[in-house]
Amino acid sequence: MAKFLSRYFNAVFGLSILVVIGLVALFAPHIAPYEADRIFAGPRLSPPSAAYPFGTDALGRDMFSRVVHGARLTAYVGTIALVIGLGAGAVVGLAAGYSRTWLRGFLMRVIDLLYSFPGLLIALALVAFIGPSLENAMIAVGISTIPFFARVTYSVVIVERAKPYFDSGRVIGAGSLRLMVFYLLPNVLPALIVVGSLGFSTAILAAAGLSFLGLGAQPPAPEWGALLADGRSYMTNAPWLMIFPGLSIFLVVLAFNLVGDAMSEHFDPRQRWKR
Amino acid sequence: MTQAVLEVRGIVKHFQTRGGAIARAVNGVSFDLAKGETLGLIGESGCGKSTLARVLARLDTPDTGEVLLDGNDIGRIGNRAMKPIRRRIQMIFQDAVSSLNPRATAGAAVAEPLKLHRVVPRNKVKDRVAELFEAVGLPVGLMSRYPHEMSGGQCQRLSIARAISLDPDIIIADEAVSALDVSIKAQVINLLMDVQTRLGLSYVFITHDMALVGVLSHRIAVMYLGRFVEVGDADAIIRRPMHPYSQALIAASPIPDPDRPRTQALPIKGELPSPIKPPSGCTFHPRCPLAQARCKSEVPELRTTGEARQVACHFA
Amino acid sequence: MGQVFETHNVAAHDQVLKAVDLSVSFQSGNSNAVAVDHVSFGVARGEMLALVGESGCGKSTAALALLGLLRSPPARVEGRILLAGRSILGLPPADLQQIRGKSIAMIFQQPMTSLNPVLTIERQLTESTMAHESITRSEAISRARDALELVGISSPETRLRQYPHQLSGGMRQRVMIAMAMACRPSVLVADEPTTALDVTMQAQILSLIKGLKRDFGVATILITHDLGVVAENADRVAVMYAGRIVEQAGTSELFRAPAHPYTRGLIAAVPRLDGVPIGSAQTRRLQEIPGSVPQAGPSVPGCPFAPRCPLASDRCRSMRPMEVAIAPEHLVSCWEYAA
Repeated sequence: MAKFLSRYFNAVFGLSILVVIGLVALFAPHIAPYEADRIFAGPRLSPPSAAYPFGTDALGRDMFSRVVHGARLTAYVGTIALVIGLGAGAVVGLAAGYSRTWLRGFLMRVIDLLYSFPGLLIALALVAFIGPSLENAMIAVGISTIPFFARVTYSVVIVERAKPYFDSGRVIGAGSLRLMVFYLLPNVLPALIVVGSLGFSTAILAAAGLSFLGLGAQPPAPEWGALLADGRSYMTNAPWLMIFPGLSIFLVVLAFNLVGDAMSEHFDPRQRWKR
Repeated sequence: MTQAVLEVRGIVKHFQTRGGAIARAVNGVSFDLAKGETLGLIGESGCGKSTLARVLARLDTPDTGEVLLDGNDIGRIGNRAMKPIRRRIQMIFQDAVSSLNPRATAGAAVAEPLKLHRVVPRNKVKDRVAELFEAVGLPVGLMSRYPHEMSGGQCQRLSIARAISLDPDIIIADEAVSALDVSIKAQVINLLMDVQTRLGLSYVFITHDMALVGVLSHRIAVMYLGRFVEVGDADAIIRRPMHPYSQALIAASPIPDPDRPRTQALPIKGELPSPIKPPSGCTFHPRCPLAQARCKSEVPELRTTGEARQVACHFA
Repeated sequence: MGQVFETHNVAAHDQVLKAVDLSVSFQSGNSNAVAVDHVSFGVARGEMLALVGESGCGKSTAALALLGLLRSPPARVEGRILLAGRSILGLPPADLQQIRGKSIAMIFQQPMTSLNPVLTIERQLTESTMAHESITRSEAISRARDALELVGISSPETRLRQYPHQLSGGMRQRVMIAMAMACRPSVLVADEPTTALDVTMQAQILSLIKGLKRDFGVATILITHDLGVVAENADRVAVMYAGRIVEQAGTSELFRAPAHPYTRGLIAAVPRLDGVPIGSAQTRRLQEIPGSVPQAGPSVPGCPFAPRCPLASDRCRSMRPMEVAIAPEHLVSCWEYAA
C-alpha cells in the first residue's frame, strides 16, 4: 500500500481533491451555512474570520457559501461542455479516421479550419451569437473544444486502423458500424479518457473565463469565474473575494491535470516502463 | 487437376507513394488455385506478395485484373455484396497477437464471425465456439482471456479458429508462422495441415521461408518485383529450380546440416530494387549471374516449359 | 541453487571471453525472474560460438550481461565474466565503456534503431574511433572509409555523407558491422544480426561476419534462433532453454548426435529444404515439441524442459541435472546421461 501510494502519489492526491470537491458540490446545501445569494448574511466586505471563513462580499454575502454552491455550477459546466466537446469530437474523429473516401478529407479540413482559431475566440463568437448565459457558455465551450477532441481521436484511430486486428475484422465481414464501435472505439477509449480528464480542466477554465468577461454565468449565480469577475473591483481592499474562487479553480484544474497525467502514463506502456 | 476454386487473372495493383511516385507492387499476376491445394507464394520483402494477399482477401481492390471465385469476379464488388463472400475467403496474419482485437476475449473473437454470419443459431454459438477451440487445440479455459494474456502460438491458434469458424473454401496465410518460435511453429504448421485435410481447404501460403514452403505446399510460385518468375510443383521447384532467382533463393536458404556438402551457390548480388523504379526488361537482370544484353530490354514472358512448370526467363 | 559447474572444455584456457556460472535475474516488486541461470561458456580467438534458443530463453540477456549493458537494478548479474583472463563483471561504468567498442563490440537485430538517425554515417563511424584512440579527424575519416570497404560497401565516399534512412536494411547492417569493427575488437557479439533481413541478404551478411572472423581472428558470439544459420556458420553451439545451457558441442557433433531431448526436438522441428517428405501430399508432418515456451519466472528446481520432455521422470522434475561430458567438448545437462 505504501509502495502504491508513493508510485501514484500525484494521481491519489489529484483524485482526493476531486472527491472532496465532488462531495462539496453534492452536499453544498448541507455544507454551506447560508444560501449562495443571501444578502447581508454578515457585514459587508468582512475579511475571513471564524464566522465567515472566506470573508464576505460587498453585499454581505458569505463567500464560503458562494464558493461551495459554485462548485456545483463548475462541475455542471465542466461536465456538459466535456460531453458536448468529447462526444461530438469523438464521433467526428472516428468517422474521419475510419473513412477512406472524400469524407475524411472534408471532415478533417473543416476541423483544421476550426482548429486554427483559438478555442476561446470560437466560444466568444458563439456566445456573442446565441447570447450570454451560463447554459450558452457551456455549449459554446463544448463546441469550441470539438476540433481538439476530433483531432486527438482521429490521430489515434488512424494508428489503430492500420493494425492487423482491424483488417481481421474486415475479413470476417464486419460492417462499418461494427468496425467503428467494436474495433476502433474500445481501443481509442483509453486515450480519450486521458484527454477528457485534461479537457475537463480546460473547459472549466474557459467557462470561468467567459463568466469573468460577463458572457457566461450571470449575477447572482456564484460560478467561480463570475465570482472572480465580481471581486475584481475590490481587488486591493478585499483580495479574499478573488483569492478563494481563484484558488478553487486552481485546485480543480490541478487535480484534473494530475489525474490525467497519471492516466496517460498508465495507458502508455513505454512511460510505465520508465519507472 | 481438379476444378479451380479461385482463378486469378492479370492482377495489377499500384500505389501512389507520398512523393507522388508509383510503386508497382503487383504487376500482372495470374494463377489458379484448386480445391484442397496449397499454393506457396515465396519472395523477399517488398516483392509484392503481401499486397497480392490483401487483394486476394479483398482488403484491397485490384487496379485491373480479376479474382474469380467459382467463375464470378469478386475483385471490385461492393462491401455489401462482399459480405456473404467473406465467409468463403479468410485470412491469417503474421503478427498473431496484434491481429486480434485487444479488447475482445478469445471466446468473443471466435463467436463474432459465427454471430455475424448466423452460422449457427444464437443459442448454439457457445457450443460451437467450444468445438472450434478443441479443433485448434486450445484449452476451453482460455475463452475469457484477452489476446495479450496469451502466447503467440495460442493467439495464432485462435486466429485459425476464427478463420475456420466460417467454414471457408480458401485461407490466405500471410507469413502466418514466421513470428513463432521454432518449437511452436511446427505445431501450428501441423495444425494448418490437419485442418486442411479435415475441411478440404485451399491455402495461399505466403512466406519468405523456402524450406517451409517446400514442406507444406503442393505448388510454389516465386515472386519478384510484382511478378511471378516461376510457378510449378513444389517438389520439382525445390529440387530443380529453373529461374536464376529461384536458384538463388534456394541456395541462400540455410539448411540445418553442417556436414552437408556445400552447393556452389550462384553469386547473387545486391538487393531487391525499389518497385518505384523497377529495372527495364527482366527486372531481375541487375542481380542475375546469367544476364545478357537481351535481358535489359526484353521482358521475359511467363511461359510453360515441360510438365506443369512456368518460368519467366529467356534462358530457362 | 549455488552449484558451480566447471566447463570441461579442453580449449577453455584459450578463450578470449569467458562466462563462468553467469546468472542474471530481474527483480520487480515481489517477483524475481531468472533470465539466465548459471551458464558457463566461452569463445576462443577465431571461433564462432552460436547461442541458440527460442524467444525468452535468455540468449540476448546473456549477451547484454557480457557487455555490461544491463541496467542494475532491476537486473542482477552474478558469476564471473573474463575478458582475456581479466574479470570485467562489476567494473565501473567508465572502464566498461572503454572495453565496449574497443575490445568487445556488438551488433543488433535492428540496425535502424541502433544507428542515430540524425547523424551522417561518417559522424557515427568516426565517433567511436576518436573516443577510443587518440587520432586526428582526418585519420578517423580515412579509417571509416577503410571500414566501409572492409564490409563490402561500394563507393564508401558517397555512403559516408548519407544518413541511415537513405540506406537499405542490408546496407545499414553492414554499416553497423563497420562501426563494430572500427577499433578491431577481439570479441564480436552479433544478436540476431540477420533476422530482419531477407535470405539473399542474410547469406551476404553472414559470409561477411565469417570473413571477419577468419581474417582478423575475431572471437564471435552469434545469437540466433535459426538452426540453419547455426549449422552453416558456427564452429560451436550452445543450446539455451529457459535461461540454461542444456547442451554445448561442436557444430557438426551437435547436429550429428544431438543428445538433449530439447536439441533433438528442435532440430527435428525445423522444416528443411533437403528433407525427405517434400510435397508428398497429405502425409507431410513436422515433428513438434508439445507445450509452449516457458515464461521467465523463478528458477525451477528440476530440469526446465521436463514439462515438455517425452523422457521426463520424477527426478527430472525435482533435481537439476548436472552438466556431463558425453564426448570430448560435448556437454549435456540431462539426467538421461548422468552416470
